Amino acid sequence: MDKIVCETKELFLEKLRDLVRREIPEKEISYIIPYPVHEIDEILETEPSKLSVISFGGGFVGAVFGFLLAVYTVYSWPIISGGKPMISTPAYVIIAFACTILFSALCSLAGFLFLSKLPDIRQIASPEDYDNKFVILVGQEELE
Amino acid sequence: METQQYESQLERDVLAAMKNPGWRYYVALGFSLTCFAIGMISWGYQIFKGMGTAGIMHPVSWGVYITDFVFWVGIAHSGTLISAVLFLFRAKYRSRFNRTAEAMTVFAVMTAGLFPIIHLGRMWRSYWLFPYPNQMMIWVNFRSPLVWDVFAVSTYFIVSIIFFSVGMIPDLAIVRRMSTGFRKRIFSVLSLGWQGTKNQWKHYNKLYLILAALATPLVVSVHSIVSWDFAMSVVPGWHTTIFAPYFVGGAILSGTAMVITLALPLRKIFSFEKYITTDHFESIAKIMMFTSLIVSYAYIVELSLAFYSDNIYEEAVFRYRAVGDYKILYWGMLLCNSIFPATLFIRKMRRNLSYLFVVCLFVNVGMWLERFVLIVTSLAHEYNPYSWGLYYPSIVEIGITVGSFGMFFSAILLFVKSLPILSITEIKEEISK
Repeated sequence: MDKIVCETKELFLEKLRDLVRREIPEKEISYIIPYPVHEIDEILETEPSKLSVISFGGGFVGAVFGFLLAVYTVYSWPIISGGKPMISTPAYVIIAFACTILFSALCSLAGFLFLSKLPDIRQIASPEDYDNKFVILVGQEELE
Repeated sequence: METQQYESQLERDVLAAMKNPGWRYYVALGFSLTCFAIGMISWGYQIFKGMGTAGIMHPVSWGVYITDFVFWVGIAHSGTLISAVLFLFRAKYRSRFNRTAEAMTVFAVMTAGLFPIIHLGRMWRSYWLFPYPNQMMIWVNFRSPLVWDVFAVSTYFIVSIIFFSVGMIPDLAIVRRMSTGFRKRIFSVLSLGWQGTKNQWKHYNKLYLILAALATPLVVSVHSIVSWDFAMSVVPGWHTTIFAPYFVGGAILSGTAMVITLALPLRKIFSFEKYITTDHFESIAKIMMFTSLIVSYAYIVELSLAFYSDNIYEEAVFRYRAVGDYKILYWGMLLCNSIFPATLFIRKMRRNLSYLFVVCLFVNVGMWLERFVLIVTSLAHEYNPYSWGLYYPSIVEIGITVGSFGMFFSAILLFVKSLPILSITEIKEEISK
């Protein structure tokens, strides 16, 4: 595995372009950077994160759960209150809405931790830091 | 090279803010904790002696506790506005305030969440608010706005905590790098072993965007739902359709005022003039001016609705607000929320930070008064003249209110010394562009 340490963002981007020009498979190029650099997207074709699917799934489940919870509980002891129908949709939509956001946020967090393999026990035990430098790792697929 | 110097300077400055508190810090913390203790003792007294120690009684059964609840939930709002909505709008000045604002949100919701429980009286049964299968075979009433509130506020609390802590992960890794010994161990765990790899950034950026998108509707929905606690009833002065936008506008007004109230002293104490400039404060002050206009407009609409309604009860309540027993509070509210912020339209005044600070303090007071006036006057002067009455907060209620401020400011003070108060990574990203 090759490790290229760059002092500046510009140098990092240049080295990255260079690697792509040398036709090194993009899968083998990884990096460690101190802050997000959006120019990378123009150089490397990174697959979009699958996190949105998880968030959507969580939100959908939340919406269904919230609404059904209200419907189930009201029928578990059916009694009319305030002259309103058993299934008072506008009221239950508010519950469904809150549950959508809650479930989606929790699923997104869990999904993020799972996809980005955090918490990383090895790094917690002995952290490896590169200061404010940009590091390119070539030939290491493990980090992917 | 210049950028690199700026970056390491930024890191050092933010880290320096976390070190060795001086005596002033301890005095401030001591004062806040004392206030908090006063609150806890008052609450303890209320629990021990019963709800009779609070001033709330027929006809005014919602008093200072509900006022405090609405006030603190409102304060929380602009934290989410600054961190989520401004993120989606790509407003650059956000990066200087978002950490403080997010911390403020979390602590304000924590404080707010206590008040419905305090107000319950038998607070050891507060878990009955949540739906869970139980031996009594009863469920909560999902048609009740108070249950919507439970869902809205607890969702808001959880999402705010997630947003706050996720946004801090890369910064915690910086603190880890720059510390040694036991502190390094703690921050290694807190930063979850963050490295900033390709894979981590990819999912992190996506997560942040998704959380911002999820938190944005919450800015609007939570205070709307809080407003429906009032608007769904048939109490004159509460039963209006403008309550939701009126409350959301008010929430953001009070919240931005609180952000400035917190950020200005922090900037001064930690010499962050380089990072948080007058321009940044001006941008926040503009949001405050705008929301002040919304609130002022709502005051006018509210009055007009009452007087065009030809409903004697509605008219009576609004007349009572302006000339009745609580008139000083009503006019004080107008002065603080509409007149003072209007002076910020003059550019010189808005850029004068000491003046801005004073206006923000007035807005904080004014927004508390607004909720008090709104809640108490309607109940004190409802339909039947036979049951009209006055309400004055008791010493216990005042103690608990003081305690809530103590709790909030203690939490903020502890936050300032334990976590990075500027979003280092985001400022770096912004500078690199």
